[in-house]
Amino acid sequence: MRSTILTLGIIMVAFFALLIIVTSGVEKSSFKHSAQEMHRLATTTDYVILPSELAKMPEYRLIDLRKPKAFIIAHKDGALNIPVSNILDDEFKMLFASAVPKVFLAHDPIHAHETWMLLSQLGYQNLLVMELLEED
Amino acid sequence: MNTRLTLSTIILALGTVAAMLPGKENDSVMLNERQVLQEMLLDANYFSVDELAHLLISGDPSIQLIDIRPAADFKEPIRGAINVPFDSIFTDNFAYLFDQGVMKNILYSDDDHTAAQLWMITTQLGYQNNYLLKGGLTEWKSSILDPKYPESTAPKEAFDLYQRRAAASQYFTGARALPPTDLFKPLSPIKRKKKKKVEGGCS
Repeated sequence: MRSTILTLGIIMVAFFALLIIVTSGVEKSSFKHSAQEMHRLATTTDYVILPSELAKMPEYRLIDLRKPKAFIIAHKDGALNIPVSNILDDEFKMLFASAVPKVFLAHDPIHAHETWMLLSQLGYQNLLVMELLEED
Repeated sequence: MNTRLTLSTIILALGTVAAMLPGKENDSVMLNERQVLQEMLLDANYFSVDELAHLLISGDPSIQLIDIRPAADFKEPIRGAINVPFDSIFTDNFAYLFDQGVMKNILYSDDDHTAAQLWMITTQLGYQNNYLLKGGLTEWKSSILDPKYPESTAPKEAFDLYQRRAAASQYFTGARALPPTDLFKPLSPIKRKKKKKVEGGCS
């Protein structure tokens, strides 16, 4: 009887140990909002800004999402280059968490809007997307 | 008895640990932020208007166009599109449409703004087979339905592209798509010199 209980105990311990190992290996999501919350946020937030409106803002950080090669050829004054592929790098977390408005700029507007969605869902605030006009 | 007590304590302790294991912060989201970013960077998730025109002309039966403009704005859509307004994707429960493995959903709106938002939502929910039309309806109209004749100095590729787009335009709009006639100046006929009768010779 005693040995049966001991065997059962060992099996249980092994099972839980396996459970802990498996679940700890899975990369967890850090999203702060659900998909429905993001849908609500996207439909109610006016986060697109025109260059003329940007000029009136006292403080902002312009973030150019293009690849470094395109950024080197030409970019707006004061813009910081963070390619979309690097947007989740740890070194930019403090910048995104800061209170200063962050304005995303990309010649491919899809990536600018996607970046807004991704970072907003991670809980970052004061994020804007600048709408580029033909002459920009 | 002591053994049973020890065993019960161990199971209780392990159960508590299992219950306290960190789960996903948001259970409705299937992909984490890094997986979503990977999807964002994947070119295969985006269709250009030229690719879409080619698929529609070739009659690909797996294409399902989803126009996400509000119902009131659902006018002159891309041929064969169905209307699923972005505002109502959760209220009217359109999950069955986005979460399926048969059709290729190509999402579009007037521009990239709203369609990119919907694509992000479907992607993070782990839904498969949803793609984004780059440039949306605006790009479709300007590039496919009403293509501009390239400058005379443009490279040959630009003329080839124009010809393909003009053909697509004709397919989707009919005769309206024919380019203005002044673009094609007829060549003036080559005047041939009349042959002179052979004169002279031996008499």
